Amino acid sequence: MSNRKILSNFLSLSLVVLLGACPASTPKGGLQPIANPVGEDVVPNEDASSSAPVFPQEEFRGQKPAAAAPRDFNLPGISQFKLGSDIDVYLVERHELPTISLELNFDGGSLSDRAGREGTASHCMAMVSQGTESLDKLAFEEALADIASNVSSYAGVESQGVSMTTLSKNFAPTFALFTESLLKPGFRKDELDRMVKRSLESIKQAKGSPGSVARRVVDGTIYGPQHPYGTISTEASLAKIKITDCKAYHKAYIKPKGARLFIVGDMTQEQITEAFAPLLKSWKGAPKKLAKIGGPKARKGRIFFVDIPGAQQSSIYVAHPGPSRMDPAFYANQMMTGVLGGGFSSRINMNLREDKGYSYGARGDFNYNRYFGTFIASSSVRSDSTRQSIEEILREMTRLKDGSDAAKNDELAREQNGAILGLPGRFATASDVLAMYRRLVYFDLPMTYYNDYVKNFSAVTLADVNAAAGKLLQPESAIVLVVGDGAAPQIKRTEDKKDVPLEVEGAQQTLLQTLQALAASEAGGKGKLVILDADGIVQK
Amino acid sequence: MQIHRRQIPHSLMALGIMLGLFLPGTAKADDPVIPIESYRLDNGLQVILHQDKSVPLVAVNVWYHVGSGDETLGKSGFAHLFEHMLFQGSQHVGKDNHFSTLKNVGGQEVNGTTNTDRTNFFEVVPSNELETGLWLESDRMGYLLPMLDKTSLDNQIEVVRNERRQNYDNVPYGKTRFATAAALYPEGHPYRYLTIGKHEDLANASLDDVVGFYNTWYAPANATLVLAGDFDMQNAKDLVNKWFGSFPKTSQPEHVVPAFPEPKATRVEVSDEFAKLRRIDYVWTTPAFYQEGDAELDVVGSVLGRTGTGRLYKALVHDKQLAQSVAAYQQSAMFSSTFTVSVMAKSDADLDEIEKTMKEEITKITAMPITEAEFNRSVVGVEANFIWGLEGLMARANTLQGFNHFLGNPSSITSDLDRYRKTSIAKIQAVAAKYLSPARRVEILTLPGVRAPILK
Repeated sequence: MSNRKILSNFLSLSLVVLLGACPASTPKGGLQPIANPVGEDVVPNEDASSSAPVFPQEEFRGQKPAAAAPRDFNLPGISQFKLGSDIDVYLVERHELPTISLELNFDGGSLSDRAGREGTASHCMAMVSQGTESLDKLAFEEALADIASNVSSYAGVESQGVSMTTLSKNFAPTFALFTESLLKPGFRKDELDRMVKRSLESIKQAKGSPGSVARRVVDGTIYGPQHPYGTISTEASLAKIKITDCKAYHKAYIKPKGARLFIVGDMTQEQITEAFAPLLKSWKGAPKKLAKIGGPKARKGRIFFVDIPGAQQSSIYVAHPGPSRMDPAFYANQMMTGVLGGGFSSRINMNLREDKGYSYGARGDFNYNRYFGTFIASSSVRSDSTRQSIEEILREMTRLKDGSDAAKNDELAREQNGAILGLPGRFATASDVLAMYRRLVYFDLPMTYYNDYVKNFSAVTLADVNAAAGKLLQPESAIVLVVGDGAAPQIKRTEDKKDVPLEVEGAQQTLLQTLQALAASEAGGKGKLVILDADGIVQK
Repeated sequence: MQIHRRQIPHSLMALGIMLGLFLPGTAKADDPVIPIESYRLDNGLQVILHQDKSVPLVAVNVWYHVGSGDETLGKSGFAHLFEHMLFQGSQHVGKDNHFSTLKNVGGQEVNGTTNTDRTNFFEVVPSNELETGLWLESDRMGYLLPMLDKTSLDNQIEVVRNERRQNYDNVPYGKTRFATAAALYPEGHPYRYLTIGKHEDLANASLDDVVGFYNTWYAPANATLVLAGDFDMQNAKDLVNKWFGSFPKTSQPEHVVPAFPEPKATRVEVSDEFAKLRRIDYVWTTPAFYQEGDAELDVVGSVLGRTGTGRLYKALVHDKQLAQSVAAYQQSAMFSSTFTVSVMAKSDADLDEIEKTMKEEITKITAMPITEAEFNRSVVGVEANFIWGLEGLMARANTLQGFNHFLGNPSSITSDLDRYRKTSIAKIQAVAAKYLSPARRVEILTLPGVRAPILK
């Protein structure tokens, strides 16, 4: 009945061949790591403490040691089979640890929330693991705690699930609780009331600090406040959720057809099939169809601001639409944002953190979902450096885009080596392996995808990266969201690399004034400053 | 690069395992084992090797046995600032090359953390680049000072102050953490200003401070190197010897152990402009990590505060619905620990009623034995958390380091678990009664602060 495929057999791949010997210029080969020119012009200080222990000066320390011969890396596979005709199973079977973690995953989520009732899907799905028909919430929690197991449930925008974790020896009782949650959740009105009341308090708390306010309003700003990726729950929308909505939601969406079972740990296909057999006898049907998600429509305006008096730092976001995950130039696109803002050594972080000291960290890269991609750069920066930090991020984007500081060979080599030589590390544990394949399932990519991973990243050229920057980065039209203290006096960076007060005609400029000036400086009608409140409602 | 803050079930921090080898036999023999070889170089550096060839990766992990608990008055935050300096460059590696060197070889999980007790530095590298990991770690152990300069110190002072702003000064209840420490620890106690430290002390840090700290605390004899993963034993030993063996003989510096803090019972109010909900914390000083009473207080924390089953959770969050959340936990540290009961009040809740319930439940746990079911649930939870933490190489490396640092024996899984399995309900009650008394209680009430008017 189930046609198991052991993908590992034909995914097996040795990085020895790919990474061992070929020079970087060989089109088909992997890369030789490119050494940094380290230790060449270091002159030891004379004044190192004389009482200190003396460390030997030895010539071999002067350069990075050569890599040893690479060891074989066999790309771990994943078992795929079906439960009945409905459920696709993805199993990473490992018996070293006596643990089992599984999630039954469904299409659906806040995408189906009606306007004015935002929060329905997330609360109704959370209710699925708040007790069952036979066990109230506290009895359910105790039953799980007594065997150190967990059952939980959630809804995202368009993906939702019910999951469990357990030690192998407690699989049977945990699976019974999981099944009861899945099919016969308690849906008690008093539990929904408790949950909604707590969510209302959480919303109140979320409106209090710059980081949490930014997280609350950023998606509505980037994707649009009505877009499925941009909506938020409010006091008004949560007040409308009824227990009957949850029962109807469960009935409409928690169906086996098209569901996916992700499972990792101490289980075999036979054990899984046997465990699910009774459940599948009575549980039938297909979920309600979901609406399609269109592209994002950012809010009208260019600079968005939420005022939090007393903020010590500003949360800043610079965002614009990006390529889809399916873009044929995906690999070059990734290398490009890697250079710009993908890791510690990227330009944005080195600029804001290591050069200027404005931030504890900064990044910028593409975010993908099934439907579209977005470029988002973000940081939390010292309040007085907010305007300068925005300028630095936009400048880094511009310089990479227009080629005035195009990506360099060593930057591309670093990012390529990080992607290619880092591949085994991405499959380090069983949970990592499942996560890597789960990503393919989400994007509907072939399960053989990683066979060509090294080849595809190796093929990216500097010209590809700079073309991607030219095509995809949009510093001129990116929206900027700032959550911080509007009264904070601002600095500017001088040509000789000093931070001095930013003054206009002798008057120290505040954050709000500089944002107004920044908005006014943009050509083409998009140059508007929009003030939002902590719910993302436009203030003026 | 970050402050490592212990999570609630601290002594459950991720543990390693001997893959596939659960010894048969009695219940206790079922405990996982992380097989190791452990030795010291002549210069005093300790080395622990844990081989696991399942994936071609090696976790390289160095613990220096120094933390913010070793700081002196006026130098708060320095241990952590110093940790940042070890990423800035060293004689042979060069400036700002650490991260890019590792990325170029496919390295991952590259970071460092500081807490009250120790400072650690780590990376996972492909097995054939083990030597690069050793090159980087040996260079910053021996050759930091030639590359040290004021510009990079000034830069990292700002970065660390940004870290403080981001994680303490710009978030709700950040002030509460400082107020709690100030109420618990007298001036001069190294825990008083938290590991992140005071802005003023950070701003005043000097190059002399860096040199002095390095020469005192970053000696080979004060460090432990763990390699966990895919390597050949003899080759790994040879490479460790190549990169660390010629370092000078050093001795382990002494920690100055502060007196056990006995704060006066007190109540402090904190006004917090980023908090929107009131929070009341009761805090006591308690026995140090792994000392008598430490494990028992973990159990007490679970019985009182565990979400879903804890007594205070049931009473305040579920039944009376006065609280948004509750937490109860032992936070263990080398010189002394703290036990905290923290309740976030709902907007319209009566705080007196909340505190009345907190006091009743705390009194009950000191006056009456917990149930068998509660005790068993705690122990089962501790054991399960151990096993769940065994997956990653780095988690195993840090487990070995933790046991070695605190207990002097990296192979302490069973003896650690036995602290929970072999205690008794009577002992748990006795420990709770001894430490969680009103006379020793520090109360911190955080109130939503008033803000400046909204800008025009």
